[in-house]
Amino acid sequence: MSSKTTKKSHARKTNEPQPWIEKNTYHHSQFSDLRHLVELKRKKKLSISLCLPTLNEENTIAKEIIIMKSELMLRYPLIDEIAVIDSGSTDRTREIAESYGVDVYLADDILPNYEKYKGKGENLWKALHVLKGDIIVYIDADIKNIHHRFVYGLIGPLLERDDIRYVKAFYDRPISLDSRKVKPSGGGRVTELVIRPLFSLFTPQLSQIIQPLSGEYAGFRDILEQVSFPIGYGIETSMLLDIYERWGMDVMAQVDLDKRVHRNQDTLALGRMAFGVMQTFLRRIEKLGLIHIDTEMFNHMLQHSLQDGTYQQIDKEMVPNERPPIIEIPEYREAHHKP
Amino acid sequence: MRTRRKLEPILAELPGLLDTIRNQRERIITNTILIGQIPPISINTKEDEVGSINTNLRAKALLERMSELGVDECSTDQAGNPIGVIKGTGRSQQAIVIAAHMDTVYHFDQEIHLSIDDNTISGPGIIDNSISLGVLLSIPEILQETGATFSRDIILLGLNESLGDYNLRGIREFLANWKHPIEAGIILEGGELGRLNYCSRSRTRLEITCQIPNKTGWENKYGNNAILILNEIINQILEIQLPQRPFTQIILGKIRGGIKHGDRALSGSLGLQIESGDDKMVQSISRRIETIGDSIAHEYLVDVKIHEISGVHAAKLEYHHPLVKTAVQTLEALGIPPRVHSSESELSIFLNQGVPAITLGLSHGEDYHTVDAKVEIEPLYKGVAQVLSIIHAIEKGVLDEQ
Repeated sequence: MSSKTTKKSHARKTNEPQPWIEKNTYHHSQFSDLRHLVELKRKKKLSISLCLPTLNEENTIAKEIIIMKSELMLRYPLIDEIAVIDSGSTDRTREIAESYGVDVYLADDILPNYEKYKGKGENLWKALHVLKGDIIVYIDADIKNIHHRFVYGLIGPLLERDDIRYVKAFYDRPISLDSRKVKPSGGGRVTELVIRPLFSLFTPQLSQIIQPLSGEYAGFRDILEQVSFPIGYGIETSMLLDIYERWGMDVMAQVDLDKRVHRNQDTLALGRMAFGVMQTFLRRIEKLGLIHIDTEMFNHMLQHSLQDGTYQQIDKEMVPNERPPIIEIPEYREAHHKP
Repeated sequence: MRTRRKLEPILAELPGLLDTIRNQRERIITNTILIGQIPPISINTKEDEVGSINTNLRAKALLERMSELGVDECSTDQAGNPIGVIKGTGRSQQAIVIAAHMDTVYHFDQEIHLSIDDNTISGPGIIDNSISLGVLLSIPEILQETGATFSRDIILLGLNESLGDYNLRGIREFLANWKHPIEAGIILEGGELGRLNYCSRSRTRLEITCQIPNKTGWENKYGNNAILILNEIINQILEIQLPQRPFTQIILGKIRGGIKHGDRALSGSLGLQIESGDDKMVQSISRRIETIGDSIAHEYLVDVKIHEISGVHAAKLEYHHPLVKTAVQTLEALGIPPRVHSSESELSIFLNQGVPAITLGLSHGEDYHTVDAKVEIEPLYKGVAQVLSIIHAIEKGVLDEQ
């Protein structure tokens, strides 16, 4: 009797709306008909830009550029430009990228009259100024098993559905131990231990985003230009919170891109990442009026490691610098003919 | 002279062809990555409720990619070779086969990651022979880009099960079962650019194993030693007199034996290859080595087995064969000195079936059979140009003068 009741209560009634996660979650294979995507893009008179933010990515940058250029520019004209926005690599990243004929920018050279920051968020924000597309696709430049599905998978929902304005990637994330060995599971620790619990506590709808910290996402310029960009680790969290608060869940979708092989990070590095994510999250939800923090928040991540028999403190200052919505920058409005 | 006349206009087009190929750089590299990162292994996949099928992952990927690239007919044959046919415009059923083997000497059974910089692609198997598969896949689009049309079919063939014990099964099965006449075969190898093989010597590979019967633990210290037995076999093989004409040699290529430093080896194996311009000479030496094995087995009371793991027969085109002349003149026009030597591989099977064939190298490589294998991108443009130029020459009828 009781189990029958439970089943009944769990069964969705026909007039109940379809849950967001069912309605807005896709698999990249649903968008593998590239001719169809190109046709949709043409009909909607849209242009699409791909941004690759880099810092010392000489081992992977060429492969990303070549595959995207070959498959999504030469074979199927889905994307109109590829730009590398570099934070000041000391290896051959910029030289190699230039040799494959894409636009390469040093982040410091874009909007040079503003204070200069170093970080992925800075590159993504400045990319909005130099890229021309109506849709901007952001892809990390350290993906070893890069495939063009990483881009067309993200573009698919934006072209197929008029209500979707922002798309986030998720995947299985094997960790690359060295050039030959790949550990088949793991990754996403900061997601499961930090960000999902925080979402569950304060913005439960966002917990449906399977990998909120994934570095691959795409969106319409008119959305991206209206949100602020933290410089460091918090960019993904902040973007989700801002879009959710301003436009709601229904403008977002997520796409399963299958396996993504990335570099492994040690626990200390993940700790710093978690610090940056929490720092951004707490400041953001306070700004949005969801909580009130009645104490000072410090900007130093303090870690300890055992060296030569004694504990050494590692003090990493992490200042939560943030760029305002780029629509507020006069140079941007002028360059993009925005009133 | 007539070959030269037919060839001249084609060679005059080489600079333009090189530019077209250079403009296809991203496509060639992408094709190479997408196929080269897939392990050269077969897995058993369920076909329906009752049956399963052994599928080579590279063959599957090659076929899917050829289909995506718009190759007219894509299928596999009974050996699992992926075959793509660019249909000719004429009625002739003649075809040109361009083939590349899919297996790699440096074996890997999981997806690997090839890396690229501005002039090299690196990673396991890249030079032998993933780069050739990438070029094979790029041919349809390059031909399309040049606007070239052909009256005969061009068959793009990935070869399954070529190396080692497989003894070139892929090409043997393909040639045994292909129903239509084949005008010529071009075999692609990653390296080295300038390589031109048009003769194949007779070759046999033997695996000699030695097992010491072991009845009690004490014999581990004081009985026969498989390494010494193999040493004796080697000494007797080295006493075999080899003729200078036909040039004949025995290559001792692999040896393995024993388990730990302090125990005599109870088992060991020796891998060797006999090569000669004459099949009978190889057979005669092979029999001689069998006799050495038998006599040592009786003399030392050990178990010696000799197993022939693969072999090919001698065959060759003459230097003045129009296909060879075309290849030499094309390489010279590209400023590449031809490096002529024999190749005891797929070439032998083509030639023994009476199909004129050559093997060509595509680029410069390093660390061929290691995890850090490399291929250079820049020489590749000439490597691809030579192949396309030779196809055009065949289309213009250079082989009619055989």
